[in-house]
Amino acid sequence: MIIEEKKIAELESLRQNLKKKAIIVLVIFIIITVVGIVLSLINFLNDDLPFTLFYIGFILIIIGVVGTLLGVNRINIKLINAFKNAFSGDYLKELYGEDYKTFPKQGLSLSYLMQSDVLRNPDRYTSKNLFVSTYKGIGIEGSDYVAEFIHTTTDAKGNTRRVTYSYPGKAYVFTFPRQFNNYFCCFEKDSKTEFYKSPSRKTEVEFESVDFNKKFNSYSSDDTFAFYLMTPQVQLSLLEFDELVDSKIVFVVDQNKLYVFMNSYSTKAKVSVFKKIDEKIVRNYLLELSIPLKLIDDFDVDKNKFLDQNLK
Amino acid sequence: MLIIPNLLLSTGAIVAIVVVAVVVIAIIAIVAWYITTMNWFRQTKVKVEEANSGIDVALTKRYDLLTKALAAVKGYAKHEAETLSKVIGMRTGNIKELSLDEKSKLNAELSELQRGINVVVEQYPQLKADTQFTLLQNQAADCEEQLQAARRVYNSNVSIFNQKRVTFPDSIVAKRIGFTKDLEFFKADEEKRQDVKFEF
Repeated sequence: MIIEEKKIAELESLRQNLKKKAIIVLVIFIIITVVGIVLSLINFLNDDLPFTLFYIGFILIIIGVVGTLLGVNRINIKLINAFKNAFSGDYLKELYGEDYKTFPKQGLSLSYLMQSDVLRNPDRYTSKNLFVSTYKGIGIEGSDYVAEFIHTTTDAKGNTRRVTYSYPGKAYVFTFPRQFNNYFCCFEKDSKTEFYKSPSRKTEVEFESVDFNKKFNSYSSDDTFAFYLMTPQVQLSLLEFDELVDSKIVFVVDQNKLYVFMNSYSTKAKVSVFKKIDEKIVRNYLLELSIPLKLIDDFDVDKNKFLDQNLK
Repeated sequence: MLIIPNLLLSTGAIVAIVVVAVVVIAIIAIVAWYITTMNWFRQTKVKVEEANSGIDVALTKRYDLLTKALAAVKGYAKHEAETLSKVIGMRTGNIKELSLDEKSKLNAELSELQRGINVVVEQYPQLKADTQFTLLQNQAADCEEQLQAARRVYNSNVSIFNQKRVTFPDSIVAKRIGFTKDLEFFKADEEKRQDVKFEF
């Protein structure tokens, strides 16, 4: 896609205007915070003054901190929305075709993803930003998710404490025509968290590539099936893909589905009022939108191996 | 002096007990290591044999599919089919009974046959349009990939086995249980090897 310089210039001009607003918001709320700190300190150092001064100071600090965070965040959201409107629509249609649909308030269900046999049941699960599409005869579904595990501990005095561990990420499910009778998965090393687990009753597989084995732990119900899927070319592509994205990846092939989980997902295309919008940010953003398609190409899902239902 | 109920042991006796205990533990550890290593060699050998069977299955399937494809070619291009059939010759007997070198040779012949069929197909549009033939061709291509996978599994196991066989102290166990030679690798097609030849 040709990135229009005009759009970048317009967004950069919007960013500069929003940056001015953000600075005003920051200055106002920082002043409020400083006044709050000063009032609290005066009260702390002078016993003769009424204690209400401390409360006022404390309230001002809270207003200052919360106001700074919320104010800047709201301005940032305005910029992010403008950025998405400028690039997502046309690009997504160009990339995925007309059948690309998004459902911002929906997401992939936990029971659906649990079929991959690499997830533990969390205490809480939410998902959003669902999208569905097709590409080269492959069905694509994807969404963001957050899995939460709640831990309750009791100390010696009998006090209980609840700690929630959150595991955010992205999940993609690709559906291809061929039905496989075997199972394969590979985890990027160190990706196993409370949410991810090794599949049950599968043996570990080591490939010829030392680099791949160093980066991924692979499991399969059948060695030959694992080698059949993970050709040297696919291994190389996945290593390159891994370099491209800032997250730990899990791949699962089961029956007629390829599940891809990317945990602790952090984007390289961060848009902020304090960061200049240039072609590099736009390119990273567009690259992120095309990740599912890249996965199809890198994993060879568009090849006969996955497409031909008559193969056994 | 150590006092055990109703028993007094001198320092010399304690030292002797410790020495005996250390020797016994060492012997147990050596025996355990020997048994574990011996089992590892035998289990890996079984894995190699299983992988070899995987090659047999894929090779037999590939042979069957390509001979069927060749029969289909005969219906459209008799002369070319007869020429192609000479590539693999008259094969009798079981593929399982072939040596690795013979299997490798057969695989190379099958690859040549497959390439030959692909060339003939380009000259006969009717054959190309035949859905049954296309199905056979796709299955044969997929079977080639399965064979490559089986070959890689086999070679990967052989490589692990051979490395351990020559590594001290495992080499002692390997020698004692009769694994005195490296296992043979399954060679890739000559054509495939030429594909990855670098020229500067």
